[in-house]
Amino acid sequence: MGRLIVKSSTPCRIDFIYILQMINQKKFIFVSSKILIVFFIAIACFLQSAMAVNKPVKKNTVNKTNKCTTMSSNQGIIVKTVSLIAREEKNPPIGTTVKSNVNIGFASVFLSLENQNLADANFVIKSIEIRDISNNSLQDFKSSCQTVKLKPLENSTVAFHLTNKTGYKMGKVKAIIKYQLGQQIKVIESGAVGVDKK
Amino acid sequence: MPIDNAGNTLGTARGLTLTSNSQTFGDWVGTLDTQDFYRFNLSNRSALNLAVDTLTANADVQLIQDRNNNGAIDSGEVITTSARTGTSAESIVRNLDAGRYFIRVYNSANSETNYNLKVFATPDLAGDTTATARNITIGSQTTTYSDWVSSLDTNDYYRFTLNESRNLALTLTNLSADADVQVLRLNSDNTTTSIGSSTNGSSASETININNLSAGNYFVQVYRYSGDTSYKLNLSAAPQDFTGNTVVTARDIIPSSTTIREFVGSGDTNDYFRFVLGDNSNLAVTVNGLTANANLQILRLNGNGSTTVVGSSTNAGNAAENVNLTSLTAGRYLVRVYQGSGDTSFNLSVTSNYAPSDWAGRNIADTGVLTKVRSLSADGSLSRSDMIDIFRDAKDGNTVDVNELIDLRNIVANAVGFNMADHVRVLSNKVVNGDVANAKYQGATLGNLYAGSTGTQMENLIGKWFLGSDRPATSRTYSYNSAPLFKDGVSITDIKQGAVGDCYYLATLASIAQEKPSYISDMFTDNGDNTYTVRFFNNGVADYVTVDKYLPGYANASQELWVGLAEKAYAQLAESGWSRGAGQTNSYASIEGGWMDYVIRQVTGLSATSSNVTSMTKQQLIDLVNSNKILTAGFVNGAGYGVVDSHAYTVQSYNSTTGLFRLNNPWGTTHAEVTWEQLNSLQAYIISSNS
Repeated sequence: MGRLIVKSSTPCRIDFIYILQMINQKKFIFVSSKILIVFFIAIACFLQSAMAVNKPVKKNTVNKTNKCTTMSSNQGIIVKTVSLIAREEKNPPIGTTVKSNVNIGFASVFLSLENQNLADANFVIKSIEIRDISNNSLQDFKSSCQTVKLKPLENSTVAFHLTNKTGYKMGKVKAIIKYQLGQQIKVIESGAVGVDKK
Repeated sequence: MPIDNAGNTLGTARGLTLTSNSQTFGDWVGTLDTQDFYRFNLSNRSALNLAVDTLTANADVQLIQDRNNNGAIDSGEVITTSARTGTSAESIVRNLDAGRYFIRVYNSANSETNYNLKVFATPDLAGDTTATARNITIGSQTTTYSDWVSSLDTNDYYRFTLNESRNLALTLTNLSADADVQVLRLNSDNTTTSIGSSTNGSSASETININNLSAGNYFVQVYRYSGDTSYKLNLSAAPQDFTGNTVVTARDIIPSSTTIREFVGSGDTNDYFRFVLGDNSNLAVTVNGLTANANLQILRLNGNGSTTVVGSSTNAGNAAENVNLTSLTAGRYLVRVYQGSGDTSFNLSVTSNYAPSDWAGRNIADTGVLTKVRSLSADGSLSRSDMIDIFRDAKDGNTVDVNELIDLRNIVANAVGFNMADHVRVLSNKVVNGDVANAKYQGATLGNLYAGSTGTQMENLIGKWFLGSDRPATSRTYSYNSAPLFKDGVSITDIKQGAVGDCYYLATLASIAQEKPSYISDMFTDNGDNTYTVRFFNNGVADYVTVDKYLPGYANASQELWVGLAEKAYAQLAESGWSRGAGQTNSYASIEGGWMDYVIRQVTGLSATSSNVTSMTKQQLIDLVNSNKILTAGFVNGAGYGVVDSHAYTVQSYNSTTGLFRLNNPWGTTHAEVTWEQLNSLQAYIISSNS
């Protein structure tokens, strides 16, 4: 969810450092008092972050620093197909040295694009989600905003390989791709596939 | 005393009829007329928005509900008051249930002032859930729905049904705070799926366009992000457009006596039709049946993608448009019908004396490509070498232009008409329509074919897919191997694993060689030029790569090529992304480590099952051994009894006398023979084909 922005105030860490500096400059509070203040600040930080979690997130705000949000997404690019290969491999592959802390969840998402422009074009992918089809729960894969550059009249299939160290939670899954087309955010889904488990 | 149109009590209050459009009522309050009352009724729950401004002295305003209808303002009947100081405008925004209400404008501290009361009320007609959604009907013309969302009404749902595929256009306008919108599809299990959303910030309008939205039930959800706002939701669902709106997306037609019925108008201002003409062609184009003004152009598509107008007709009103042209040169042409004013269907007729009997003549514009295709397909088909020849011809002038690119894609799309072998069709498609693996060639950037590709890029694409010249990366040196593909048939003993950690792959090939050798022989197509095209299956669909006869030093040392080429082809396949997963490149390193069931599916297209031997019976395993199913064993839980850990074997046979299962090692040596109990002790994974 690369370009989602939480609408909250100054990050709590900065407030915390600033207040500590102020306390030091005044030099009228003992260390024990500082500890007490730090405790309350920590509680405040926790509450602030907890509240931020419940805040809605977004969106196409005007000032953005993420490179994807400043990249325009051309009209005239057609998404032809989306497909997904889902694998979970708790057993190590045969033929290699066993390693610890390896990825066990794999999602390969294939996106077929058609640039109908007679000029170069950018296709901006906002997010790729893998969701269980039975309850729509989000699987533990992370994707970032990505831009696919296309040449004039280029047909292209691009692959996105997502991994995790926790595998899949349930049964059949699908890929949900949110992409930008002009000022719109559009969505396309793959068909549901079973997870090939090892 | 100035004007006094409003009564001075609840009983004499001036009656207002509120709408969603703002109305202004001018009046005056002062020492002789200290208060003005207005009365209005709401038939639906609504968002009231009122202001009192243009003050020259202080005045305030109250919103009142006479709940007991006694004509007096009792305690608790003032809903809210706006009492700013001085000449500041007063404002009240409030969500109100249906009922009768009063507005009281009153002076303060003996002040005297004219004022304007501005007021509107937007009814909340949309339900707050999908179950209570407002049912609406969407047609070709835009329909506008006024409503509002606020902290007390965070969601508005509208439900509509499409009986046929339509192009949905949605805008959310007139926002004063941040609201968003999404379109939801109602699934058969009554769940919903978001199929489009617009989430612009602040009070910016929202837009969603979804073309070819299929028949079904849908919801529009307007939801509050921050602040309270009225809005206008504008919706239309225009008929599906079967004709492209640009030069590139033009609808391919063949000039004939057939009449095409289409539409241009708002939202579909251009329709393009594309066709090919030969030299000295005459062309007659007619557009009639108009109910509004539409115009006509004939354009020639140039190789660089630009167009040249060669004819036009721009009659006024509903008059038909006609263009007649003679002696046109060979090439690709377009008919453009475009909106003059209003919306209109039309009948299009395109006829020409150019009427070739062959597919190539009707669909290929580039003269060189057309000549080549006609010549090479004279025998009824286009072979691998024919396609290579055509691809090379298309890069004349060291570039592949727009017309040549369209021609090549047309040829591949017509593979059946050219009796093209499947592997030729698939590999040609990778050249002209792209593939994940096109990103690299011999380690350098390559890219998919596009309008303007260089001759070098085309040649590299040919080399990559047809000539096997994009060999997998390895630290070893490639050398030409003149051995035959097969020697004395296909045998399990042909397998001798080298330094690559692909035992899972070779153990599976060994079992296929033993149980289903025809799958191995069918895997290879000898191209007759020291290259082989090798077949794999991606989810049951054949996919191909081409390899040459150069093998690295550590490739299979057998005196026949098939194992080494199968290994090399599998390494090349890795960069296509589907066979090996994340981050794989065209290299031998990419095929290190894996599972045999994937290989069974990828090499044979058969389904496969993986089970731990501890969940099987001995007889089940014996039955598998005695069948002709592909059968392998993988060990990842430790070594023992002559079995190597993290290694794959072919389960070759069972000796009922000794009770030993023979495990063929893909190394070609150090095979193992183990009992049922020993297999259980090692917790072997038994992986077999299902047929």
